[in-house]
Order: sequence, then structure tokens, then C-alpha cells
Amino acid sequence: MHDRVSKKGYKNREGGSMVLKMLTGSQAVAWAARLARVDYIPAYPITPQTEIIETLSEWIRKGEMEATFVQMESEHSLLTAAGTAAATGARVFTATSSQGLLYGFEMLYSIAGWRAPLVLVNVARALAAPITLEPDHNDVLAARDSGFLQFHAENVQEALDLVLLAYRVAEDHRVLLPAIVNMDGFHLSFTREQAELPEQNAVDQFLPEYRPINPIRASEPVAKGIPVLIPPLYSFFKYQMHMASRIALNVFREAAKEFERMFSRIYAPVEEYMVDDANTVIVMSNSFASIGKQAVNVLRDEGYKVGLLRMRLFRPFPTDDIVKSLRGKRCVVVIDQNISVGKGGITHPEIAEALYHLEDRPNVILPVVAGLGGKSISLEEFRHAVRVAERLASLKAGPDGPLLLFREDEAALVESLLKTASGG
Amino acid sequence: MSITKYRTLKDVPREEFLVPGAFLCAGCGALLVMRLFHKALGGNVVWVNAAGCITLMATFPYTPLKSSWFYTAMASAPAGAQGIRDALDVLIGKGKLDPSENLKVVVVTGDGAASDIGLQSTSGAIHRDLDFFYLCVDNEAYGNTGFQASSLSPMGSGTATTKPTHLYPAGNVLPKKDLFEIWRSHRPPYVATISPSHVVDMLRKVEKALSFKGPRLFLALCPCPTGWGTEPSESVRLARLAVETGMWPLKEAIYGEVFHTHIPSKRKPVEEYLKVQRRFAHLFKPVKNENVIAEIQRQVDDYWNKVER
Amino acid sequence: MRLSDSPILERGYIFNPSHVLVTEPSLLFDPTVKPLEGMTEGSVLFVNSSKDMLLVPSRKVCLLHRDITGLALKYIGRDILSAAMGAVACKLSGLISLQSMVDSIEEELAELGLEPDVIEKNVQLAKECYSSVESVGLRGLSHRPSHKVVEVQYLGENGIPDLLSMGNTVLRKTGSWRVLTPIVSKDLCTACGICYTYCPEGCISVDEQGYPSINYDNCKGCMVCTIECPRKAIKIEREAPWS
Repeated sequence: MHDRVSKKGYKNREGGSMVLKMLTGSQAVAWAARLARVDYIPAYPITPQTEIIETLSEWIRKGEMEATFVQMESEHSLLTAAGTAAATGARVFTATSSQGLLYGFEMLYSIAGWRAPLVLVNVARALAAPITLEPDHNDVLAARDSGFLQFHAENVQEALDLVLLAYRVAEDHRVLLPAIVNMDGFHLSFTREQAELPEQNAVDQFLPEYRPINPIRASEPVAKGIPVLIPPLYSFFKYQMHMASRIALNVFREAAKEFERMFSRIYAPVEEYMVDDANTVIVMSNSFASIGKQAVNVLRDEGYKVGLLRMRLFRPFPTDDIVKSLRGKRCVVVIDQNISVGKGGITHPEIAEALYHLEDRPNVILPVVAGLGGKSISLEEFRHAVRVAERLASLKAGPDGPLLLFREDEAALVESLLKTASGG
Repeated sequence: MSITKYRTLKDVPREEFLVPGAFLCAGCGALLVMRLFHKALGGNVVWVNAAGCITLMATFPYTPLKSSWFYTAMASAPAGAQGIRDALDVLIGKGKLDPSENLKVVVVTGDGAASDIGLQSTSGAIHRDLDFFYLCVDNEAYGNTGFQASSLSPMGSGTATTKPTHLYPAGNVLPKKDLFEIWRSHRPPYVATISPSHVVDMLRKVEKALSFKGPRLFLALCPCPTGWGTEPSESVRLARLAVETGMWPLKEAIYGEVFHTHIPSKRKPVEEYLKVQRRFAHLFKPVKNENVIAEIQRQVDDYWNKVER
Repeated sequence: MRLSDSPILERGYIFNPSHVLVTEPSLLFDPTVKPLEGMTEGSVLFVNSSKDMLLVPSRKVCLLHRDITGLALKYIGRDILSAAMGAVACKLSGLISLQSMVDSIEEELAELGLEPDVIEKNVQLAKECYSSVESVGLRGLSHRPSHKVVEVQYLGENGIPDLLSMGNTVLRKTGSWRVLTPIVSKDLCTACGICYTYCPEGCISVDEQGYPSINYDNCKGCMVCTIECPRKAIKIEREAPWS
């Protein structure tokens, strides 16, 4: 946990001065793009992402930022332009959300396959239908298998920092994969928090100029994105992507160490909150993990020995970190803020697989689906989930399926709205 | 009228940018168009491609092109061109790239990508005044998937999804979209139709387009032996016949103003063009479909009557 | 084609064929096609060629050849070989009767929408091909060469699907696609440059005086040049003397 209170004008270890600001998540990632000195920003509006591109566009139009901003006619085109620009040698930033991410979905796999290391901020928003605006993670996790690295932020500061880290890891020649930095719509994108803006000089030092591989230019012709019609070749290139992503885990650790040295903030692939002596650990990600931590505080006071493990990296999947945090625990409660209809949460099977071969694996790994479409997760729901897990552990029984959390008053609200809709 | 360096076939530039051995059918009209078009463009080109026959131009680990190539996706080659153009500009602008590394960005797609799935991204790129070329190699159907109808398939043609039957004796009943006019409605600096049979006309148009900045779009009729059901050797002759019957007008539009670059003095009947292609065979056998042939002729006559008036 | 009287539990590529039929001799040694790979002792290699194969790939392989292209030209007037080669395969297998073969050809070509007279020509061609070879029967899959399984190594920035060797399709000799060959008659040629202009492949180059020469390694034999030549100076021959 990073809980140091900084004051305006505070000197960091490098001796540079820091600026503290009250920033929304959207402004914070825009600042990150600006500090990363990105060259190119193809954009397309969608709620709740729009503030990011509005901010960047304004800076560029005022001459405060040296980059090309172009508003495309769709996310599919946006991602195509972003990918070809990155392959041509520009440092590219873009952002989208939800339906936009899915509209451009085809290109996610293409950009990753081109090995074009750009950074895309996804402002998480649940997927239609029914169409809605508030967050869950079905959008970003749909991109799980695309080859994009995935970094998930809990707070405004982290959203900013992860963009910088994402560039450093993605552009590393051992990796060369694009990255998504995910932050929750509204709960993070439109929420102001105090955040420290790193010094430009320090960022320049942390993030050297992008050195593209086989860029497109007159002196050295290259053919990119071409069909590979021989099956072993296809397998080969996909394996290469996988291995690049696995190596990105260590590249991330290296970069995070350097980041800590320069900016005094610690980023591991996962974050532990009161995990050490916990019997039951709740696994979560993104901004709702703050609510989870608050629930842990209360449940601790009530006598439950609980902790929380927050997933910061989803791709590459930080298996070793998860094993280290969760082995020997009695219960694990995986709260998926997403739903794979007909199965349950998307990350639960991944966590379970990471632990399966351990002799001291947890007795229960409880799948929970919660917080879909921005539905809040109350203390009662956290408490209920922990109790169910502990009861199953004492019964030496496994769960029947995902626990779908819902509160009595919410059920009543739904009932009354259904009545209104039907005219009854 | 500007001075041109192209007067006769003797002026066809000798430099080849496309070497032999491309994995495209023998007699492919699109391949011929690309070869000649590239000669007029000169070097320092990056082609940006959408899914189609031409995608087979470069398949790992081979390419017939000496120029750069980027296959993007079926719907978004113009957006891919946008990314490359913008990246080159910003890198040169920031001093990160030497101006001598600059390239001409040229989209090449088939008619399906141009008129159907990629129309939105083309419209976007033209609207943004993107400095690029667009070459649509129009074989009037989705050739690479086995010749299904596109919105540039002509009325009366048989394709894999518009087979002539007793219920649909004409084959395709929908008209060919007027892509030239769709492009022209955006008022880009240059739009032209070209034919592989009329090489000097093609070279001059590319030459003229090179003098503009912004979107420069070309619609090329590309005979397709497998899809049209013709001998590979007939490809150039068919393209010529399309011009001589008036079915393929050769024209250009500069900032929206249209000029015809070749007006056939005495147009041959469309029948001459139709009857030699298997995709129109149902209009002649087992019984001649006079109505459809007359309708095709009428549309051609109407077009030229307006031009000649 | 796989033939068996028990359920066939293989799919996709045929790795250990008992019979291999090659429509074009130049494909025999193509590094990408590799038609001889996987052939083992007792395999039958059938090559469409009018000539004896000088280079026998392996003494253990039974080599047959017939001039199928010649027959196709005789019956259909063009080099459409699918029905003909299918007929050879049927006969070689020893399992498919003449009637079954004819029925299949008629059905499939009708599905393609071919005219009855064209179908009939194909059937006649197939019948002749069928009778032109002897059945050699099928050999079971007794012998499968084994391979080691290896782990793919990570190549970092060298393992990216970019292509840096430009203009290298000349290495793929698409001349093997060609059945008929265009030959320029020097005495008729006026060096007008038309054939050079219209060759879709760029297979025709011109010398300083403008006289053309054809790259036969890559010429696919589309014959656009023969049609476009105003002097009819490009002749069509079955096989060039050097092939």
C-alpha cells in the first residue's frame, strides 16, 4: 500500500519538485500521455472516456503539447490508425470504452499480432444489451486473449503511473506488445483525487524515446501484417507473442523497481492488503477494490481474519504472485465484476488454475459475481460471501456455482421498476 | 491542359516495382493495373491493403513488391493509411525522421472493401483530407472468396450469390453503386476511373494526381478470368471492350468537376462485351433475355446522352 | 483423397501418402510444395508428363507418367486437368469403378454449372485416362516415420512476422503454372513494347532496342501478350524445348 501523504512542493528522492493536483482519472491519464510525449492520438468519443480526448485535444490546440490529434469516424478505424502509426514508429496513445472497444475488437488482435506497442486506456463500462453507462469488466476482459498487456488501476494516481509503466514495458524490445490500461468509468474516470504529477525530466529519463522495430520508411521497405498461410508458421508467431507477454512480467518488475526509485511509488503485479495473517482472502481488481479494502477493515473489527488481493496485471497473468499470496489460505473469494454467461466469472477459473497443483491450496475458492453495470457491492455482500466461503470450508464442500450477490432493497427496487415498465 | 510526359506506350516507365511470381491468377487485371499504376507513381510507396484478392500479393515469406506493404483489415485500409501518413508527418515534423524517409501512402482494395465494408472509413479519410492515394481494383464481385456479389457487381451479372435461376433470370437484380460519384461528392482534389487497356490515359491520370495533395482516388476496371468466366488472355481485350461499349467511362473529377478523358466516337453495342463472359451467359442461353440486355444498353445510352449533350 | 473400409480418423494434410499424383513436373522439386515428402518404400508417384522422368526421386518409389495435358488438349481443347487426374487416382486405387467415377464427375461438374457438352468432354477425357493406367492397389499405412517433438524458442524481436526481403516472389517459380508457352518470333517483332506493357506479371523485359524477352521461370502462361501483339508475333507452343 502506498499511503504516504505528499504536500505541494514535496521533494522526491531525485531532488526534483513534484506537483500535486486534484485530478479526475481521465485527466490523470491525459497527463500521463502528455508526460510520455506521445506523438499521435487517434480518437473517437464515447462515454465515459470522452474527457480524456477532450483534454488532450485542447492541450494540442493550445500548443501545450506537441502531438497530432485526429478524430476518426469509428473505433475500428481509430484502432487501425493507432496500430499502423505505432508500426510506423510513432508513440501512440488512444482511449476508448465498452461498445467502442468491441466495435474495434478485430483490430486488437491485429495490433498485437503486428507487435505494435501502443497504449490504449479503456474506461471500463458494462456492455449492451441492455445498454448502460456504469462499469464492469466484461469489456476489457473480452480483450483478454488478444495479446494486449493489461494493467488495471484502482485509483487516479495509479492510472497515471500505469500508463507510464505500460509504455516502458510495451516498447521494450524483449516485449513489443501493445498495452491496455484499464480504469473504471465514473468511479475513477470522473472522480477527483489528489495525484502527484511526475516531473517531465524524470519521466523523460524513465521513458526513453520509442525505438520501433522494422518501421515503415523509404530506405528500408518492409511488408507488415501479411498472411501466414502455413499452419506451423501461424503457431510459431502466436507462441512468440505468448512468450513475449510472459517475459513482460519480469520487464514490468524491472520497470516498477526503477519507477519506485524515481517516484517512490511501489507497483507489483498484485497488491496485498492485510493478506499476511488472513484466513480468507478476497480477490478483486480495479476501483471497487477500494470498497473491498474498506470491507476488510470492518470485517477485521468484527473478528473475521480477512485480507484482499488486488490484481494489477491480468495479462501477463501473474501466477507466481498469486501463488505466493494465496497458498496456505483457508478460503479465497474471487469477486468477478464481469460475467461469462453460462459459466460465471472470468477470472475465477484462472485463479483456481494457478492454485490447483499446490498441496497447500485453499480449501475453497468461491466464485462470486458482483458489481455488474456499476451496481455497488455493500459490506453485507462482502460479509455474506466470506461467510459462505468459510461455511463451505468447514463442510469440506465446494461451491455449486457463482454466488450472484444482490441485496434485498435492490431486489425491491428492481421489482417496482419492472412494475412501472409493464404498466402494472 | 498540363504538360504530360506520357504520349505513347514508348513512354511507359521501364522501372519495375513489382517482380514476377505474385500469387494471383494468370491474366489478373488487378495485377496489371497495380504494375502500371506503380510505374506512374514511382518509388517510395507504402501500399495499405484491405482483405481481397490483392491480399495474396504478399504472403509470408514472399512479396512481389519492392515497396512497403501493410495489410490492415477488410474495413479499414484508409484508416491504416491515416495512421501511417500521420505518423510519418509527425515524426518528420518533430525531427525524429529525415524527410528523405517520407513515403507516398497508397490504399489498394477490391470493390467489396471499397463499396461495402470499407465505405465508412474511406469517407472518413476523404473528409479529413488525408493526403493519400486510393486504388480500387474493381472486378465487380468478392473475387477472393469465390465471386459473391458486391455492391459494385453490375445488374444482370451472375455471381456465386446471385446465380441466375428461373426465379431470377437476370442474376443480380441490383444496380452497380456509383462509387465514382460517392467519392466525388466529398469534393476531393482528384477522382478518376482507369482501365488497364488504356495505359497512357492511366499514366497521365496518376501523373496529374501526383500534382495534388489530399485524397486522390482511382477506380480501375479489372477483368477477372476466374470470376468473369473468360480466358486469361482476354483480360486486356475485355477491359478495352468495356471502354469501347461505353460501359466503363474513362473520366476524372478535379475538386468535383468532371471531365471525360476518352469519349468513344461510336460506341459498340454492350452485347459484344456481355456475350463473351460466362457471368452474363444466362442473358444469351438458353433463350436470349432481350429485356435485360436492352436495359443495360439503355443505361449506357442514357449516361452518354447526358455527357454528350 | 483417403480411402478405407474402416472409419477414417485422419483429417487435413496427408503426410504419408501411398500414392502421389503430380500435375506439373516442375512442382516435384518445389521447396514449399514438397510433393515427395512423406513418400515411403512402395509408394506410387504419378507424374503428368510426356517425357520419361530422368530424375527418379527414390528407387523404392514406383514411378508412372502419362501425358495427361496432351489428352486434356485433345478432348477439351484446354489444360483443365482435374477430372483427368481424378480418373488416374481412381484407377490407381483399384477400388473405384469406372461407373462410379463417371457418375461423380457428372454430378460435380453439373453442380459447377457447366454445360452438358463440356461435362461430356470431361467424361470422355476421364474415361481415357482411366484406361491409360493400370491399377496398382492401395498400401496400408504400415510405416509412419517418427519425429521428435521440440519446444519453440523465443526469438524476441526476430520472431515478428515482418517481411524484409522485398521482391522475392521470383523465387517461387510460377512458370510451373504454365501449360502453354508464348514464344516471340524475332523476325515478326517490331519492338513496339505492347507485350511488355500489358504483361500483368512484368515477365517481359525489353532490351535497348525495345525487343522483348520472356522470363519463363515465372511466366504463368496467361497469353495476354499473344492476344495484344498487333503483329501476331508471339506464338503459342505446348512445351518450350528447354522445359
